[in-house]
Order: sequence, then C-alpha cells, then structure tokens
Amino acid sequence: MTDKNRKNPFGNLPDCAADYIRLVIKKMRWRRKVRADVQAELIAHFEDALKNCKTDEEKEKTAKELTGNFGNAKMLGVLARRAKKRCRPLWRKVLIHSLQALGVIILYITICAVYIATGIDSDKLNTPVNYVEWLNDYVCNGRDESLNCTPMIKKATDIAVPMPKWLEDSNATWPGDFNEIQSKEFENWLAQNTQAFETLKKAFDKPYYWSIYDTNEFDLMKADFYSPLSKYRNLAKAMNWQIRYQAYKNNTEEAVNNTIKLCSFGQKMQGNGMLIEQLVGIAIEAITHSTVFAMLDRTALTTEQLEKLQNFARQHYNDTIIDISAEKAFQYDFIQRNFTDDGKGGGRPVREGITFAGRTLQEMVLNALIFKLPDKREVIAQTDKLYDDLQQSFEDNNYRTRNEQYEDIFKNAPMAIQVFLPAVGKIAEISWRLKTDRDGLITTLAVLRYHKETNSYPESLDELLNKGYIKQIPFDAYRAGSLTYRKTGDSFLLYSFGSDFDDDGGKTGADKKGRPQKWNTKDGDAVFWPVPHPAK
Amino acid sequence: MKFERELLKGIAPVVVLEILSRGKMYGYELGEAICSKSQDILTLGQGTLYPLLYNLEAQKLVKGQWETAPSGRKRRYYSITSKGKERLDTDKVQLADLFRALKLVFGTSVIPA
Repeated sequence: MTDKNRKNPFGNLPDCAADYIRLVIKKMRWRRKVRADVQAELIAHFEDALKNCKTDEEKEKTAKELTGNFGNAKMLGVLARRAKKRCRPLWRKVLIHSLQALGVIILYITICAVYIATGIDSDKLNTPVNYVEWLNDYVCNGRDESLNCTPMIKKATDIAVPMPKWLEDSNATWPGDFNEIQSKEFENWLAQNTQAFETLKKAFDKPYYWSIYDTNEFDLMKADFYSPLSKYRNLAKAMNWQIRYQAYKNNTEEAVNNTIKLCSFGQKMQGNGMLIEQLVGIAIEAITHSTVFAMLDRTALTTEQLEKLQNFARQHYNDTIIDISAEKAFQYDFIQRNFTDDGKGGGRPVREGITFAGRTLQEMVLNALIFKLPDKREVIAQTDKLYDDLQQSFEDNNYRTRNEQYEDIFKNAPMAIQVFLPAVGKIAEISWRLKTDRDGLITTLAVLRYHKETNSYPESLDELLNKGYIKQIPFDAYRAGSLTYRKTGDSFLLYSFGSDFDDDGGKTGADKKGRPQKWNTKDGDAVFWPVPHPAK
Repeated sequence: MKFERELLKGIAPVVVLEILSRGKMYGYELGEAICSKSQDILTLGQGTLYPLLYNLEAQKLVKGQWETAPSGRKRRYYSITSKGKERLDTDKVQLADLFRALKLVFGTSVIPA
C-alpha cells in the first residue's frame, strides 16, 4: 500500500461510496488486517464499477445505485465478519477458544474467591442452642446432684499423692515383687494416700457419675473436659495398688469389695458424657480386671469371693460401653456455627462451612467452585445418619466383622464431619476388647470356681455352661467365635485370638520391650489364664 | 431477476464455483460474469457476493489472492481449489437430479413460468 493510499484509500470514489464502505468496515468490528483487506476489496469493486463513468454526476449516480445494490451496510459488515471468522485456521480457533475458556474460569474463580472472602463470618451468626447446657442436662438426666460421685472424686484427686516414679516405671505386678526398700516406699506412699482412698470409697457409694461442663464457656468446642480425667485415671491406678496390697496382706475380702467398687466406678463413666470420659472409664475397668487376674494368680480367693466377683462382672455385661451422643452434640454445635439460619432449617454454609462441601480436599474445592454447597438440613440429616450408624455398629455386632466398615463410614463423611469424628475403628476395638476381657474374666472366675467345687477342670466351655457356671459361651471379638479354652494337665488355658486375629496356640503377646501384653500386639494371643508373668 | 433468497441460497455457491472453474476472477468481474452468463436472469446481489466468497474460502473451496490486474490495479482474485472442484462435481450431479425430478413433477419438459 502506497503512502497516498494510506492517507486516502478511497481515492476518487464519490463520498457516498466511501461513506458506505467506511460504515461496512466499522460494522465489521473485526481484526484490523482483515478489515483493511475487505475495505480494499470493496474499494476495488467500486472503482471497477465506476471506471466507465465520465462525469462526477454520473459517478455519484452509479455509486448510489451500487450501494443500493449492496444493501444494508450493517448487515454486510456482520455477514463479512462471520464469514471471515470462519476463515481462521484451526490452531487459531483452538487458541482463541482456549483463551476464552481460561478467561471464563479465571472470572469464575475470582467470583468464588470474592464470595468466600466476603462471605458471612461465623462469629456473626446466631447460635440458638447452647450445647454445653444441653450436654449437662443430658448427662445429669434430671437426677439430684447429691447422687453424683464426681465432686467427691475431684476432692480425692486433690488430696492424692502422686505415684512414685520408680513404681510407674516398674514391671512389678504384685507387692511381693518389690525389694525391701521399694516395699517400704510403697507402703509409705499408700499410707500417704489413706485419706484420698477413703474419700474415693465414699465417692463410689454414690450411684452415678456425671461431669458438670463449664456453662460459662458457651462454645462446646472450647470447654475443658480433659484436665480432671488423667487425675481420675492416676488415682484409680493408685487404688489398684492398694487393692493388690490388701490381697497381698491376705485381706482378700476387702480387696474384693474395693475391686468391685473401683470397677463399678469405671463402668459408671462408660456410656455417658464425652467420649474421652468413657474411654477413661474403660481404662479404669481394664486396670481393675488386671488386678483381679493378679489376685487370682497370687492369692487363693474363696468360692464365695469368686462368685461375688463373677456376679458383679455379669451384672453390667450388657450395659452400653460407648455412647457418642455428646460427640454428636459437638457436631451439631459446629454446624450451627457454620450455617446461616433461614428459619426453615435450610440455611447456607458460611465461609468456614465450605468444609462441608466434600469428602476430600479436591472434592471440597471443586464443589465450592461450582457452588454445590449443602444446606443445613442436608448436613444435619447426614450427621444423624452417620452417628446413628456408628452407635448401632458399636452395639450390634462384633468388632472383627465391623472393622472394615468403619473405614467406609469415615471416608464417606464430609471433611468437616471427618475432622470431628472420633477414631471410630480404634474406639470400636477398645469397646470390643473390653467386652472380650469381661468374658475372659467371667470365664476364668467360673473355671476357678468349678475347680474349687469339683477339684477338677471342665472339659469344655459347654460343660461350664451346662453346669450353670456361666450364662453364655464367652465371645471372642477377634475371632467372631468363642474364647479358646483347653484343659492342660493340672491347669487350663483360656485366651482370645487377640489383635492379630489368629490363633497362636495360647502364646502370650508382648510389647516392644518383650513384656507380656494382652492387647495391641502384632503377634501372640491375649491370654487370660494362666496369667502371664514378665520375664525375670 | 430477483429470486427468493432461500431459493437462491443453495444455487449461488454452485454458480460461483462453476464460473470460477473456468478461470480465476476478482469480485466485480465475477458478479458481472454471473449476470452475463445467465443473461441477467441471475443477478447475485453485491452484498451477497462477498460474504459468499468469504464463506467458500472458509470451506477451502476457493482461494483468494491479491494480484495485479491487467489494468495495473491490485485485485483480489478468487480461484477454485481442488476441493472446490470436487464439490462442484457433486453439486452438479445433484442439480441434474433435481431438474429431472422437477420435470417429472411438472409433467412437461418446460417448467411453467
């Protein structure tokens, strides 16, 4: 294109023709190069059409006719643009569409980011339900405060003298295992705790245990549940040593009575309140079981004492060990703090509530980007179903068959629920382990009683059942069958398959240091009888 | 002669391809050629011609190229491509069939005016 053409590309075309072409090009609204191309082509067309015109008037007249023949300039511009667009090479089409898609995505993400960044803050939400109050009402269940053993137990923990470090680290299971110096220190420590033990025993006379949660701390998630619990556990351990000492000193009657009281306290903590309290209750009962086994191993309890212990163990056999209602309240509290309230139950999640949008981080982000957010009603229904399923699974089947299903329940829950969901598989195992331990204890007591009365051991568990020493065949959750019992010369063998789920022929499991360990072992069985001893 | 737009829509590309199959032409020349070859029966509107050419170019049936005309001016010449020739052959066969069918429908060799 020459300079002249660049300055006036329309040359000698009449004004009407130049205006028409300008309008067409303007309406094309397309790339400059393409527009210049079309303009040049149209100018050439008009020049060709007007080349035979001799006068300006004739040119003007012919140009007008021609523009009329071309038709609407705007329409021509649009049609030319559409046609030229189709002429683009494929790579350019792909590139342009990709860039357009990218732009849309960036715009969308920006909108989402703005939505999330400027979303409602959870602090500004109304929280209509005080779940701390609810929890206090739930655990108290309308009972009079005078029936609660907790205040007195707290008093006992306040005056308790902590266990000496050497005793905590000791492998000893019986006071007779101590040397002379240790025995003296041990007796001294027990004497220092006399008042604490007496207060504890008085506390055990109260029929119920329930915690009083701090109502000043409205937010359930900020309430303190944990600090007193470790003290309860330590005091229970101390009392177990007192019981063993009483048995060691042949005061078996008091030892049995105190065992029952302490075990009963552990059971009172189960199936009630926060999960962590229930787990401490389970731990206390398990420690008591080990004390009973130690007494059976080291002393000669009378038939009456054996029966007394057995009847007690049987009495609470079917009680609920784990109740996750309080954990569910935790979840409800979290939901009410993360969803708006539309008055009909279908509120929307606030900024932090986006964690309810998916089961994994990826799913959560994706759903948040496409605004696929659950409403409050959906999340509550999901929570109800999940917790009901879990509660049911803690109660109605054995651990072995349920174990794998916990993983699925966990994986299918939204992230926000997963975060607050307890380690259900582990808790289920602890619960079923206690059940198996109870069965092991009841059966051991029954066999020993049988021996005392008949001077022989039963041939099988069926014989024990048929003769009324037990009310049902003891269950091994790690086998989904009965506990394994065998007569062995002048004794007997009773064990569960244990945490490795297989029969090791009654070989005791051991911890990392090689000390006998009933549960949580990679190898070996959980042996109830004969009571395993640490290697000397 | 002015035809109904829809009637002309299917015919126009074939006519353009047929004319271009005889030699390359620029827009104005092509418009004139269509008029003269059809004895002014087919007068493709100028406003239709260029979008039509661009569409044919997009389909790679014709190819446009700036060249210097014998007059010394730069013109954009359109020539039929091999793909365009194939399409023309196909369209011609279809048109022949169409005319035969019309003849049969109207019952005479002369289509009524």
